[in-house]
Amino acid sequence: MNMKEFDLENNEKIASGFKIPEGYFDDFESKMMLKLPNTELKVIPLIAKRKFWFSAIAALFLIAISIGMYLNFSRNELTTNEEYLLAFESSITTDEIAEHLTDEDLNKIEESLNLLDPETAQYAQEYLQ
Amino acid sequence: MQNEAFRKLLQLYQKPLYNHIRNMVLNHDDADDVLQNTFVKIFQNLKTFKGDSKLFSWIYRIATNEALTFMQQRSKKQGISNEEIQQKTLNNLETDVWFDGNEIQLKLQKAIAILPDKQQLVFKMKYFEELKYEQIAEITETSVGALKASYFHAVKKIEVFLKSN
Repeated sequence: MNMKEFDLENNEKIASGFKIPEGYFDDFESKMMLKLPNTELKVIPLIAKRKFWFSAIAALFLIAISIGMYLNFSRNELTTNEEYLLAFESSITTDEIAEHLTDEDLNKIEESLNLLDPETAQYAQEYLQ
Repeated sequence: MQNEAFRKLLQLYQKPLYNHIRNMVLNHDDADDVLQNTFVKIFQNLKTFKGDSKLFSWIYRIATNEALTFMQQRSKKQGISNEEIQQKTLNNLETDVWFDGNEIQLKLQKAIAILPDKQQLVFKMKYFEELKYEQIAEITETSVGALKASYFHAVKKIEVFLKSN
């Protein structure tokens, strides 16, 4: 090819000139399959998404029962009308209720949470914080 | 089952990806390493492939990024720029057992090496791999217009180089 008349677009195509070792692709596939990390591609079942909601509902249910039990228990000990009203006032936040819980009460709740499956327990712990 | 799907993907893409990577890194052994790393990455990330881009461009993008990362690391390791490594490799091409190009092929490789990185990539993908502008645009996430301009400039520079050398 005459370099002076060189026209890349219209002249015959020039190959890269790179050569591939003979048989390179014959075993590449099997070599590659052996090299893959030992993890199968994971298909996440739809049910896993539901598990979160089951856990969330379970955690809320548990919290509701715990608070209910505490209120029932502490109602017997309430000595003033103010405390009685405070306990049953609907606008009272969980933080305000938590202030009335003793360390021992909190420990008991924590212990009961530890008996649950880890995901539910973690959710409940986060919720309580 | 998933491994079987991956095997199909391997069969389909091993050759075009090898060529793509080899055109970038120039040397067979390096291309082999980068190709293997590319497929490992594809396997690891297949579960996160969301389908918002085409599988073809997603795979090519991984290969391109792997090759670019490899070239950066190689340059860092050797303490010289990528351009210098490229020149060194090209100077040794005549004795490379995995290069059987003639005089014009060797000159073309040398002409490509003087181009800026982006123009090199666009030229190789368009000229050697014969990818469409739309495909290159998806892979490189660049506009077709910009790619056409890059390719046009690359061709002109190569022609000037070849005529004057």
